Amino acid sequence: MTTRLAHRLPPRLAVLVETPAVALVNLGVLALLVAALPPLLDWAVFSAVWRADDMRGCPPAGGACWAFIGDKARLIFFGLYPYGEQWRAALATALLVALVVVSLNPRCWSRRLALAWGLGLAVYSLLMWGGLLGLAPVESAYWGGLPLTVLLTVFGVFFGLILAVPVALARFSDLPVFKAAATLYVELVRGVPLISVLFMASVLLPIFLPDGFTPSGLGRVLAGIVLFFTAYMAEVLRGGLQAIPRGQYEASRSLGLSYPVMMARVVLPQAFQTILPALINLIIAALKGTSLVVIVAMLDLLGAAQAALADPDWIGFYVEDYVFVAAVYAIMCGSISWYGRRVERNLGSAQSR
Amino acid sequence: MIRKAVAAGFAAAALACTIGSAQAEGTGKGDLLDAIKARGELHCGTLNYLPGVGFLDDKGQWSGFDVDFCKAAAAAILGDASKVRFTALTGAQMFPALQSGEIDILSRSVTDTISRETKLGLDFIGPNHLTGQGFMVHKSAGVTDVKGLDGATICVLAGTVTEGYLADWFRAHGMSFTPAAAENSDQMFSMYFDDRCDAVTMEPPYLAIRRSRSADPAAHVILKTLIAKSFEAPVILEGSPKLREVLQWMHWGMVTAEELGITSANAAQMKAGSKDPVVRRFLGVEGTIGQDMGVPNDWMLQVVEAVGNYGEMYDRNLGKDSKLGVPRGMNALWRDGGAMIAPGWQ
Repeated sequence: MTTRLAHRLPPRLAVLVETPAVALVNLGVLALLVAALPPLLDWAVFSAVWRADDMRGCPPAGGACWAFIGDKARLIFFGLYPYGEQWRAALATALLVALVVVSLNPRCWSRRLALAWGLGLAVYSLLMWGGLLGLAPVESAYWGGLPLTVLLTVFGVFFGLILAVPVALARFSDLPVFKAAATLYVELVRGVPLISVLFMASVLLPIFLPDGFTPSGLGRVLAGIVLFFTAYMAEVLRGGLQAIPRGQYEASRSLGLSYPVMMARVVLPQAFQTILPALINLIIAALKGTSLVVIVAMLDLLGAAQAALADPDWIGFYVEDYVFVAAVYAIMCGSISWYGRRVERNLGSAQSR
Repeated sequence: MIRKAVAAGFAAAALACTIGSAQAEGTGKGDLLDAIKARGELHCGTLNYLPGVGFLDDKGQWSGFDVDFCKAAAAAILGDASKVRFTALTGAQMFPALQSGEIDILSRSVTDTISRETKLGLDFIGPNHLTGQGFMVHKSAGVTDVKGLDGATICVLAGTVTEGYLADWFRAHGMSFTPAAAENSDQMFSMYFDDRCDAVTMEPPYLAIRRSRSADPAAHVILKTLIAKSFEAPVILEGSPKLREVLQWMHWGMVTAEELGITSANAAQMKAGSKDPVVRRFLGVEGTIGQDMGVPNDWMLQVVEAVGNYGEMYDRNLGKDSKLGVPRGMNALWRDGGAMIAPGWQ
């Protein structure tokens, strides 16, 4: 049953009024939107305060106080990183993001990429830590904000991926000891929320370890994140391994390839291509998962945003604060999934050729 | 081959674990005061979410009342208020961080209670901040006293001593209430202002600050009665008598400085010019008070020059010189009707 209106409208609009029920629901939603939009726009744009020295410039019952964000942007983006040196953290993070962007594209997978990572990580460490070439040293305890979020995500995924390879291979193996150990590890980690892993890593580790052996807070948290995401990556990778046709293993064997060569040259490259969509999904999950480090008082993007709320000059602007951080997270996650789709499309057309 | 390597790896890991635990049992820790001096840096646990108490300014610099205590301690022990490494800690992390030695001093508005002091093996310093627990209610409810809150829904911060005091007080008075627990103060006050609870409980100064930032401040009443007093104090682990002595007397010294009229502005001048023997002893011109305690003799001069006397520290962070404008109240000197008092400097 289609409405008469639907015949006269262009196809894109016609679907909105296809049946009377559909038309009614769409009309209702439109009415809701019209009712909600003006007050929202009024709050966010028309009544918003863009410039103020402190909270006295923002009336409590007025619109959004974006002046608060303006005043606190540096703190939210960089946390405790020394104010004058923040360009270093920005530059280092941009470099890291560039490396990741290149690495996510299978066309760039080559020996030169490994070289680029080695060089890039050296420059990254130099910029973040300093202490050489006239750069003031900055302890990892002072890293924070967006650089910390990116760091935890990238290195969590990077080391997670590297460690996931042996775990996945062990789980895929026919040797019962390896298989059981890997299964135990994966099931154990998957059965625990990330919060408890982070909490154990940050609170209990220093109590277990002898004096002087305790890694820095950042190292502990990163270890927890790697431990956690390794299990998930290993499961994704196992799926990739299973997707490789049995014939390829047999062909490699009959060519006389040893197990390491077969895995490194034949199986794993194909498996990684297969799991790319799932991997991008995991990267987005990891990016958002890192915000849980707030519970161990690390100042990542969300932690720094929460810390910004404690300034006695600006009390009670949590709505603006969280809206802003949500927007930053949305932009980051959106870009990752957009880039991921693009890479997949390129990959798909390359394979069909 | 691979299997052998893995087996060797497991064995090595197991060995490392045994050696590690043996070492941990073997080391007897000395007084933390010596450790801090040897290290040249004070490790201080604090918080980053309480306005005026512990927070980060626009440039990411630590500031606040609790932060200043650690700066003062660094000035006293090391002669330099900047030699502090601050770590923000959540309520659940704070005692484990102290016990594992990650921090030397916990200055985070921890409320001193008998069970914390005796069961957790802690030494409380001070107290350097006295507060109480009050209530704010909607004016439309017509409640004028805490007794009128029988059966009310009360917003409270989860996991804090205020939660425990609230339950104790209502039980003691044979009254009932429904707690509405919030994770942080922003959430708690937004719950209260959205009418999801009848009353909100916290230290009265914070209630006043939040009321001033509400849409209609006249619609809320802060009840006069306080249901609990609270000793907020810096904490160290038991077993460092020298550090405890230095910190306790540093706190008393800051109160004494206010009594003697020594401020960050005139301390150096008083050291050079004062003939009062108490002032001269206090600032390290005469006697060996500091030296005998294991810190530089002019330690109190360093403290007062770095963060000021107790009154200056309070007014700058919480009181009349800050945007919070919390009255001194119980934290005024004894001679001004408050409860801040210190033993003599003889």
